[in-house]
Amino acid sequence: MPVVNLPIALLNEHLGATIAPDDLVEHLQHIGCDVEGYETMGRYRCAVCGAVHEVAEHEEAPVRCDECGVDYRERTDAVEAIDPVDVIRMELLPVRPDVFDPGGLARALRTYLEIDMTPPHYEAVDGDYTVDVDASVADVRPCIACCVVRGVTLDDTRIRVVMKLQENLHWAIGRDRKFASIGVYDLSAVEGRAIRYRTVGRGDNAFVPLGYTDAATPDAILAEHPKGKAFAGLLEGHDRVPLLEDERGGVMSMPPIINSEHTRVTTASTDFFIDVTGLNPRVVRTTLAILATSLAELNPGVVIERVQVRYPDGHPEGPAAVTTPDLRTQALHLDPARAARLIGIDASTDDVGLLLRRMGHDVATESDGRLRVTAPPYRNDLLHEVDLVEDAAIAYGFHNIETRLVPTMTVGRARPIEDLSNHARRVLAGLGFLETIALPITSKPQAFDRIGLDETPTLELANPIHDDSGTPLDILRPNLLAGLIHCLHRYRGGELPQRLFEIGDVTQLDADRDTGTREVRRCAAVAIGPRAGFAEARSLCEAITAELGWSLEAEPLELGCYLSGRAARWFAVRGDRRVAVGHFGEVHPDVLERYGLGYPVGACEFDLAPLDPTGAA
Amino acid sequence: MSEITWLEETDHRVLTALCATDGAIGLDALAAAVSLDAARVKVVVDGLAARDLATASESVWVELRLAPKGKALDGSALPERTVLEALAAGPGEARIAELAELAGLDKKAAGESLRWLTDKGWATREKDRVVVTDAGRAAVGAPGADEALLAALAGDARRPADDVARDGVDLDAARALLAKRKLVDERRRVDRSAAATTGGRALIESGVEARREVTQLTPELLADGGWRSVALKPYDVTLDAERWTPGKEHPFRRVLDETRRVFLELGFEETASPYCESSFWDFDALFQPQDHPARDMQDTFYVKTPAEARLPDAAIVDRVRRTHEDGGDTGSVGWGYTWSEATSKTTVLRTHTTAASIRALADDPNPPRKVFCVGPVFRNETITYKHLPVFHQIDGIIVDEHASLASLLGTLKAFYNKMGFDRFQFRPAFFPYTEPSLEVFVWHDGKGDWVEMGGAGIFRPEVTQPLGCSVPVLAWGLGLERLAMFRFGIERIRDLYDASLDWLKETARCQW
Repeated sequence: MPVVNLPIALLNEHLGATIAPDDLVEHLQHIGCDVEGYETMGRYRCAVCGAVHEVAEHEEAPVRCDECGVDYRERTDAVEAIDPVDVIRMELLPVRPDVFDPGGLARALRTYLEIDMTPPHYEAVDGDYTVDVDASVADVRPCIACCVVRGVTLDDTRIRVVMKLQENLHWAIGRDRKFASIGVYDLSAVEGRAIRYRTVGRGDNAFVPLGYTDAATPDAILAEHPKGKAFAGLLEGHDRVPLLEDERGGVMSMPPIINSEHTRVTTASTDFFIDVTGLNPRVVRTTLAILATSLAELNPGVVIERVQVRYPDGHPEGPAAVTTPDLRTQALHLDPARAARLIGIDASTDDVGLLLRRMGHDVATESDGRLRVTAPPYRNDLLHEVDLVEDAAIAYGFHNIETRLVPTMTVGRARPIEDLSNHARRVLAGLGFLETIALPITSKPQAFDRIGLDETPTLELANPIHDDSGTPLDILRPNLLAGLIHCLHRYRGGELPQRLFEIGDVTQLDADRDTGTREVRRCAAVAIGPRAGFAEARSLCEAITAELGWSLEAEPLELGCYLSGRAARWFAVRGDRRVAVGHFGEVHPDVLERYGLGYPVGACEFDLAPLDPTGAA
Repeated sequence: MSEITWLEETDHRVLTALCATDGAIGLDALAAAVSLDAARVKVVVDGLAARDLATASESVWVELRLAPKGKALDGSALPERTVLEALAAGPGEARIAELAELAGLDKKAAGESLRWLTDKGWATREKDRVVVTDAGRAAVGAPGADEALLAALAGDARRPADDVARDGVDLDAARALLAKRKLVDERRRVDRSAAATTGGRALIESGVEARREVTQLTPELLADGGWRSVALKPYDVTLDAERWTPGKEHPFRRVLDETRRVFLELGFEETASPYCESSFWDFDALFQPQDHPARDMQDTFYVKTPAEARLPDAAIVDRVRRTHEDGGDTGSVGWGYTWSEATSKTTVLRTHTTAASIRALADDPNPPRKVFCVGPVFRNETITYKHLPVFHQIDGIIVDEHASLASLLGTLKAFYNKMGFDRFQFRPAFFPYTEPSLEVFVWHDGKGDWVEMGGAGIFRPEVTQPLGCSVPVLAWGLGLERLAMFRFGIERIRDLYDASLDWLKETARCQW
């Protein structure tokens, strides 16, 4: 998960209170933020694109701008050191994008810490900008939401905050710009009032992308610009690419890749045009609401202006005109008694109401005793009443909850196969065998060929990983023996004799099961040493069979992993019951040779379930 | 000391010999008297001394004798003496070339004499001549300390240094003169002697029994009672013995099994679910949207064979579909997308044991129930020392009308307490299928920090209601490898699975 650096001074400024870093860390953890700690960051400003870079004090200065790509080693004048800043480092929780930036986080803490209990409220005013959406975007990137924000002042700290907020919203909601991507423009560079959102050919409409001095076609930008290369995949397979243009045809951006250089936001910019494009109207609107309200928090007193988005006939949203941003609050209801019960605390209706107000909600009590909760527009994670219960629980503090156990009596019950497995473990340990545990993911050669077994149909992975030697690990193990032989291989040179066993699941195809597979509990054992071999294996199997309450019968068996004439099919007999459980024998010298084993090996593998005398396993 | 009623045969023989002597007897003499070698007698005497039956004493002295080069002189004078006397008998000087003939020495001895003549200051070399000095003249007829010592040791005598000194030889001067000549050997000698103590004498006089010493208690000695009349040799019990390690369970198995035992003790029934799971049970039934990043190929193993699973009862599938799309009857607004049945049929390796919990809940949604599952889960991770594509989880649910966040925290506390942890934190977190959600952190002394162990929460109504459950369901999924790594002090998760033979043998069953 990305980590965001929150300038402490800025956070305190917006909180309207001064809170020590240690206390901030604790409060943030209590509201669910994954805080790594706080530290001082050195800062560098890119003279080419205005980006502000932060590096930990012990790290090297940046060598290249990751926004515009300029190489500071070649152009030493393109970067200047500016004042360092104390920051809190926090891992982002994708579900709460409204607390990704100091403005949004201060907003959450203001009510949580009861510094200011006024519920956040945002108004947008009517404006005269329009966006005409061309039908052709429907196939590429159909949705767009926009607004104008006026009266912003950005210093170096705030410009970086806005930059990082965009980047983190791209990650959390946009899934790396796929579902939502944001463009912020200096409004003074946008000509006219009628913006156009359309597609153009990849070789058309050259413009100067952010950080460049020369114009480039969309194709060239996708091939060469750092952001173009990074996000080209999002436009793959499309002959035409989306473009946002002002009234005079000046290119503002090529969503979701890059803005134009001439609309670049600088610390001198005061009025912004903002767009969010994407694949789903709900996602783009929520993203815009979060960004616009966080900007309003960062610069109290800004004016948010509505923009009319006009969808044409033939567009999934059209024909229609939609006004954005949507800063409406959401109304939900909560039964306060149910909330208190679910959290497990004593809390009155008023108590629960206060807890919710501390989480930024506006709360009123209905005549039926329920709470009417007005949630702010930036909360996109409220799907159900229980989401408000969690808000109340967080406000109460998980650390303040008096823990208990459920009062209801229930009877514990182990799975019989686990009990039986533990019986078998005790028998084998008593016989001097050491248990091993292998990973259940393996490869076909390892599981079959290398121990002399014919391949049988088995579960296969579509996207296997590879082991150290590059062999695809693409199946779940169909036997345990292969893993044990491999263990003997790894333990070559160790003291002899060695006696190993494993009890675990193997996976088999089974068309009768809903998943087409089932796990079978197996036990396998191997012994290597001068005296190891068939006789030892048979003694072992007889001991196990007897200890589990059966007696052993053997029939000759030909199986590739064993020497011919020194392998047996293993039956367990009890009264008039006779069940096949597995096999035992002396491992074939081919296998020993393959694994570099210099002594004979006795081995066995069997199913445990048939040996459960109760039949429950 | 308890009363001595018998002595081991050899002890008896040696002590008897000591009693036959008034005062001390040298060990060599003693050895001769009892017909044992000296080394053995020393061990026996030391043993008797340890029991206060005898005293052992030793004196250290220096033995002097001629070294081979000294013997080779065969009683004749040192060559420089012979040359000096010859020169002094003549004009007091001679050409070096004529020395051998003059002194009647061979050329080698005559050559050697030159060095010592000048070293002792008896003569000086002047070009090709040797000239006797005043000191040389004074030395004529007056043997030096070195010559006195050689004379005292003549005839291959071995004499104590003190004895030689008593004869008037200045040993310090002799040693200085002979320092570079290897003519005399000095050896440090120890004279050991022993005497019986009063106790030892009284014991022998009392006619104490002598018994034969035996190392191994044999069946024959046991059968005929012969062990009563032999001495069983005492051992040095402080010595290391051969190392044994028992056959045993894998250390990680004990953690897995203890985990099971804790939940059995808390009244939970155990469940299991297939490793190959439908996306329906692994994700959809848990209200995980179908475009959720956890379902990406880079996080989840997809199964090629079998590629498709059968879905459960159509009514359940339909309720799950509607819950995803618009919340259905759950009071939720849902995720707002078109749910795909085909996607939910795709098979994956289960990414969490919560798949087992949700199947158990679907099988019987009626409270009260407590269910747990311990087993492997799979994530598409490259194998490194830190990451494996497989790890184990303990997943559990409590289906109970009285269940609450407070009882979830209490249950988690009970588990970690029983597993040996006493400091925890529960921090708010997010999972698509629980609300409230939290992460469990335990304090790790070694790291000096809180370590995340897993997630927990109360299943969302979007999860429980489509399965016909209307009471709160507490749920958790906690990793077990990390717990085992703490217990066994392992840094790399891979060491649990690629354990060395020694680690398997030597990791103690009990870890305190």
